[in-house]
Amino acid sequence: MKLKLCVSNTDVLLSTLSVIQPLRKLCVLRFTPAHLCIISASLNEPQAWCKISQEVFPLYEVESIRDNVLCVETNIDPLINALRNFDKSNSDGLSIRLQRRPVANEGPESSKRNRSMAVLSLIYTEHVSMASSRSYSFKIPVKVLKAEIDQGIVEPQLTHAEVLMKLDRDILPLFRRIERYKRSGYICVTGTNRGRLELSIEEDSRKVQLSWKEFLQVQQLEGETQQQSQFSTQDQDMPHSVQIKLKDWRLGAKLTELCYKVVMIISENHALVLHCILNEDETAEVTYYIGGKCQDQE
Amino acid sequence: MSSHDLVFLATTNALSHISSVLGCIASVGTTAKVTINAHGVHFTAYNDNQTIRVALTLAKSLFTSFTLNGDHNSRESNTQGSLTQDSDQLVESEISLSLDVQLFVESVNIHTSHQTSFGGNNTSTNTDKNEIECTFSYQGDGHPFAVIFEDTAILERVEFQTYGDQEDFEERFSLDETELVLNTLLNGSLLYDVMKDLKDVNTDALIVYVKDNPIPSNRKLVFISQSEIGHSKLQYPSQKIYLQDLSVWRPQKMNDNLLEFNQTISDSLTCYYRFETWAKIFRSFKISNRIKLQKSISGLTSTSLLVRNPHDQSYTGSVIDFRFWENVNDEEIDNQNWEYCYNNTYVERLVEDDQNIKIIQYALSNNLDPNQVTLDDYLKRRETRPHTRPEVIETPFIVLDDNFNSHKETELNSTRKTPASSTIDIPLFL
Repeated sequence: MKLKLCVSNTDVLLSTLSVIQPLRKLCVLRFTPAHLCIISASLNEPQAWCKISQEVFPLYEVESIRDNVLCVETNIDPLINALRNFDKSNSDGLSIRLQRRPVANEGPESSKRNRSMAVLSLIYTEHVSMASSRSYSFKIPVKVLKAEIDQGIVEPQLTHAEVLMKLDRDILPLFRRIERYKRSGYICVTGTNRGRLELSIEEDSRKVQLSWKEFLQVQQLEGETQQQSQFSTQDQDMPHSVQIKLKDWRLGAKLTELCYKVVMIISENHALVLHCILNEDETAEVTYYIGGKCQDQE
Repeated sequence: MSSHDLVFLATTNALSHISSVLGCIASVGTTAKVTINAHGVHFTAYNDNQTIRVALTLAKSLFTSFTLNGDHNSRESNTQGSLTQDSDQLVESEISLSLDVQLFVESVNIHTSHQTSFGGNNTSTNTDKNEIECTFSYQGDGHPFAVIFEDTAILERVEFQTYGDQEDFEERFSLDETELVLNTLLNGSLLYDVMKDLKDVNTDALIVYVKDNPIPSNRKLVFISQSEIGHSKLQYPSQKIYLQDLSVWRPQKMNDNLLEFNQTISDSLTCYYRFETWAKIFRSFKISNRIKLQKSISGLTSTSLLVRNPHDQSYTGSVIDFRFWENVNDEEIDNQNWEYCYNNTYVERLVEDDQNIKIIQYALSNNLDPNQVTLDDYLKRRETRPHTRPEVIETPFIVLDDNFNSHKETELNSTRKTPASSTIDIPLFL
């Protein structure tokens, strides 16, 4: 088991982590030969799946007996702090390694118990002057996940998806307008095949409907060509809705604000998915899954 | 005419104005009664224990189109032509409904994130730049009241549940114009400054002292604060530009036991309020151009605020009318009788006692006499000399330095904040 990474520009890593930080602290970092996946998931709650290309790291070495896949669970707060500290320094390289956790009284029993416990060690050197430099080392405790646990963490699959629409930053005023309404727990997101987007909130004595007047760009879905032709002949614009928690929506709206490209997928009554490309060179992406209200009730 | 036939549809672009005046209503009550007639849209609300009533009129001219009772042949009544004939018929139709005004304001206040507080004459023109068109629509009893906001990109439709007949306290708050004892016309922002200072000195009770005079500059309007720290006097300037109008009437019992009201210049009038009432409403004064303050013999007080729309000079303005009662049954003025409101010796003494209670003056900064005391000077002095009290007077009057006038002017300038600094950029109604 070996992990050796080097990073000089932490922008991608930091922005990905900050985007999912509000969701929860405990995340899974899965290092595969091609990507670093950061998974923030919990049962019956929204999930975020991030994929950062190994291109981001000038040095990226992962070795394990499991097809060179290595999976750890950690609190991302100290990781973000360490990355920010490195950012503020004038150092030009940060090295990240997986090390065994140093234990004070290492007996045969404790070493057995702590076999899965390790540290992610982040080291960088700051040049103070021509002659002297200062080294910093952060040790972040992690838990190495066993193969069977790792294999149990799978990305949610949509059984059906009715609408795929591209959102660009122009849509942000719409999302900001709905922020005035905080009294309801849920928001209903409706999209149509042709690209209309509508948000609605129903409160005890007030109903709000916000719609975007322009048609958004929609992607046609595979395997639905048959259905599609049927619609076009009838010239119908079919709405598809999903109701989600308002607080989950807010994080999604924020994601749209921070990302370069966003595709919204509506799986009717089931889920809302935001697939976001974080930056222009497309080295990182975040997929945010929000379960629909109906699903909760089932 | 059955109310089911009535339809109301009106469109406006003055969203920022509507949002700021509606905010004044929401500061008093939660549920508002909305009455729509040929003159415009009227909102009425009361506070929880019905001691304050607020009424707001959004005049018909604020709307680019205004249709009441859709069955009429002329759909847009503001089109010229048959206007007179139309309005004759329209006067008769009136719709009323009740809705949650807090929710309504929340919706109308479309740029919440850009506005720190409601109103203000100098708020950014965000709303107007975006050209949001706002439409009110109502289809009669049982239907929701709908508001539609539309700009080039977004269409927002909000429906408010409407309630049937709410309890009406209008009778209790009807002001009899023939029984007025006080009528003044004041500058909104200046009165706001006075109220803010009254709040800053933690006023419990507010005494308003007025005395008319044939010479305008000798007219007197003094706000006396009564609080834990004693009394403070805030003198409202008598110049015509601030105090446009001041009239005092005194009733006289006639033989048939009826009262006859005669205007008086020889009698002073005092009004007594708990400041909490003013504290609830005075934030609205800031956005108003002028305020008409009236009181009837029964103690019912009305402050009518005229709020112009800074983005539309042709609009005559919206009127917000707060009504509340004088609190006469306090121990300080222990009477239920209006006789005590005139030439009250206790209050007269407070007003004349310039030795022990310095007067805080209000004016525009350039007009301020350097020898007059501002609130900052006042508070600063109080801090430095907290224990000095004249022995003769039992009430904890605050004593200010009597040698005040001998102080160097430079020092004065550095300590003055001028209550007026906030009034500089506000257009006065000359």
